[in-house]
Amino acid sequence: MLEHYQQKDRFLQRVNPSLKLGAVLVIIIMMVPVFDPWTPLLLFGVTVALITGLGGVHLRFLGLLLLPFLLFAFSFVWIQVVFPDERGGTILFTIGSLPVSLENVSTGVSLGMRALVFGSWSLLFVLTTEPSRFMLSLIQQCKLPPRFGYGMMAAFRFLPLFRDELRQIRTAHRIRGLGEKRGLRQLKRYFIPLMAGAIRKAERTAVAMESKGFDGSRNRTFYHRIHWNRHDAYFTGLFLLLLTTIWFVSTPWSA
Amino acid sequence: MMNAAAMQSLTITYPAEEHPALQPLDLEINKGENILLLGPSGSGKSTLALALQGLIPRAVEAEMTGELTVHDAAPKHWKITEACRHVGILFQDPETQFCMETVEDEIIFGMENIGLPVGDIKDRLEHVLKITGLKEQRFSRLTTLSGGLKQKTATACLLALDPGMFILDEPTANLDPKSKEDFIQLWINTAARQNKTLLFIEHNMETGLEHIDRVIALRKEGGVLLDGPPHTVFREQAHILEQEGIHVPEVCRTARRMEQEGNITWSPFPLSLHEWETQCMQHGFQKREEPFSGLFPHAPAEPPLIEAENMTFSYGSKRILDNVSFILHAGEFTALCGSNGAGKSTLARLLTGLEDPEGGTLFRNGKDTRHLKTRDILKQTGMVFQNPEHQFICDTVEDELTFGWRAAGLASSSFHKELEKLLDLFQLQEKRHSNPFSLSQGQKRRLSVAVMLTGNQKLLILDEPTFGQDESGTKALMGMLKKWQQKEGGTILMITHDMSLVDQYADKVLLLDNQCTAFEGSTDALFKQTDLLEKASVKVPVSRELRTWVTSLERQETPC
Repeated sequence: MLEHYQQKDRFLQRVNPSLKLGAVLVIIIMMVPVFDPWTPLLLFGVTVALITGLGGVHLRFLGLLLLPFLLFAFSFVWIQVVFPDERGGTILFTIGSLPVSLENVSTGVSLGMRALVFGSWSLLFVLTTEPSRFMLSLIQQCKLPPRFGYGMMAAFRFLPLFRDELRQIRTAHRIRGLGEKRGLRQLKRYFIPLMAGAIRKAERTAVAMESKGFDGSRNRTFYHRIHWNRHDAYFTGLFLLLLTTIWFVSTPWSA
Repeated sequence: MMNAAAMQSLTITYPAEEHPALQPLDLEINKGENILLLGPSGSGKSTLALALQGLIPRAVEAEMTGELTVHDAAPKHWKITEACRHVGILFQDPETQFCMETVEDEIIFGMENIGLPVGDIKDRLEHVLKITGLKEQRFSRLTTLSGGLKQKTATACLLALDPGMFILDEPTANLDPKSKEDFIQLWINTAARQNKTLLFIEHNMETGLEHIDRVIALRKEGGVLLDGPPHTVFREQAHILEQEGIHVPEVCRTARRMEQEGNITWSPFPLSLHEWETQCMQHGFQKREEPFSGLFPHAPAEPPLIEAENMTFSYGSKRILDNVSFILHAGEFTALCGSNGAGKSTLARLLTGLEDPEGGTLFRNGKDTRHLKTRDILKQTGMVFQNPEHQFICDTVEDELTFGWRAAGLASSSFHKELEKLLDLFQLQEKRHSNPFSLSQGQKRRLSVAVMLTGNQKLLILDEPTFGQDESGTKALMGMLKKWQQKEGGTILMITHDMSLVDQYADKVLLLDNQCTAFEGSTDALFKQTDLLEKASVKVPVSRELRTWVTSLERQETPC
């Protein structure tokens, strides 16, 4: 499913991965001093619109992915209401004997929305960026040494392998009569065969890569070039517009 | 003829190892030769491959003494980007030789490494995709490919770099019989035709032998055991190979026996089934179908151990098993076959009770398994996994074997006899105090089977138990299993691709194809269903094909 969106031929997919990554970082930094609930709410709305409109991701699929972030966000509101540093004066209503104040709810929503904004921007990046293009862009635009770039790619390939292996180990142990209960001891038992396998796999892959002439240096051809294109210009324009809007919207509130 | 490689008392020792992995070796390899390199496990074949490329000592630390030259240079002095243009290695495990996501990117990776201009990369890419037949898979993700296609991709990567010498280190060990044949055919059609040096390392090579110029067998204690053209080695010296525990191709072994018994004089000695058949026909021998044994030998009165009725199972939305029905009687040795992804492993999981069928019913001793506890099913069912390490949970072999008994709270006096019996049966006495992870491949495998027999198991399921085992390891393991089946009345279900194993040991075959049971019945009956075999990419083992001729040869039935 993830690959399906990453490979779509839509606007966000065509933007340079390094630029997108930069944008995510700028947004995160921008949101640090914002404490009102409306700016992140607005930004969140815009982001969802961007991902669905310019990234071609189905709203339902996006919603599903955002669900854990939503729960996380709600926990902020809850914590602010139940354990406030300082209870606000404007009481909205009470739950049992617990007074709920507007100020506390507002801080909670603002913190929660911020988590949602971070989540949605991370998803904007992940859902519209192919890992191999991202790696190439890091090497070509950000001057990341190929040693790390291709190493990351190889490690990335291992993730599903590990998942399969862990599943097999778990089954094997259950058949031996272990694994009804989960605990630290259980984890230790998984750890040894998993590590033994991981080290062997990593060694083999490293040898295989070197046998194909990979020496980690920049001295190589790039068959796929990640170029800057007009989509990057549009994206930058759009992004600056978004930043300006945030600036104006949030100033009267944050002061 | 020019030298492609030369070794003079080449010895390689890994750090912290007492004995060298490669004992002193003197050998010369000529340019353009197609060589089959044989040797028992531990004779240093893979180590030699790494050294020929210079990966030892460049990437893999090891001490090297003696002389080694490849293409008139010492491989260890090559730069990484130089080495890959001299020697290309295809490794055994398809999972761990890729680092990119798609077929195209992986093929390009090597060419980018050596700095080929973009135009050349484009041309070579098109070329290797064409000759390996991977055009359709060009943009496919590597994770979605079958083992056979993965090894073809790895081949394409090597061909793109165009080295002077290719080393194939047991590349077909994980492949099903059809993919294995396709793969070997690909090498014969492409690489072997150019003037390239080709070094095939294989335990068990049955096809393509007629294209081999020279067979070299290494001795376990070091040095060259035999060296010569396949006709000579497999005709005159086969007994020496067998003494060393090296597999002799079925055709050659049988041909040799026929000749020794005075039934036929070969000229030339056959290296493939095709050559065998042509010559037999020239001598006027006829193929004789073996008499069909008819119905399945025994039909016990008691309820079968396992009976599956229209079982279905899915992972998420993906249907894995669809209307699978079969019966396993107590005391039977059944082989579970089918191409990769046919649902064999899933079926095994259902039989262990870890998973319940979605639809249909699974009966165990006549009872619906849904009413049984997983725990109780597991007490009677053992499962041996592809990777034996996954099963190990203790620090010594002995603890590993006694784990079940100790967990059940038994005193050591009560299981002492049983333990000794298992240690003897699986030849693990010497290793009883060693850590399971420190054992050899064969020992690990035997231990993983032994631990599954410490309870009161009635059914033992094995997932490709002979994977990664050499000829003698396989023989020993199968012997032990057969013993357990016959002496203790155990029931065995073995997942395997190896049809000669099926032919030799299984009483019955269960064949899955397209998520369904395509066949259930005796081994003899299966190999008669040519259409079905073709469809399920199963090959009749050479040994069986040969048998149809052997009777005729032995009786000297030539039409007068």
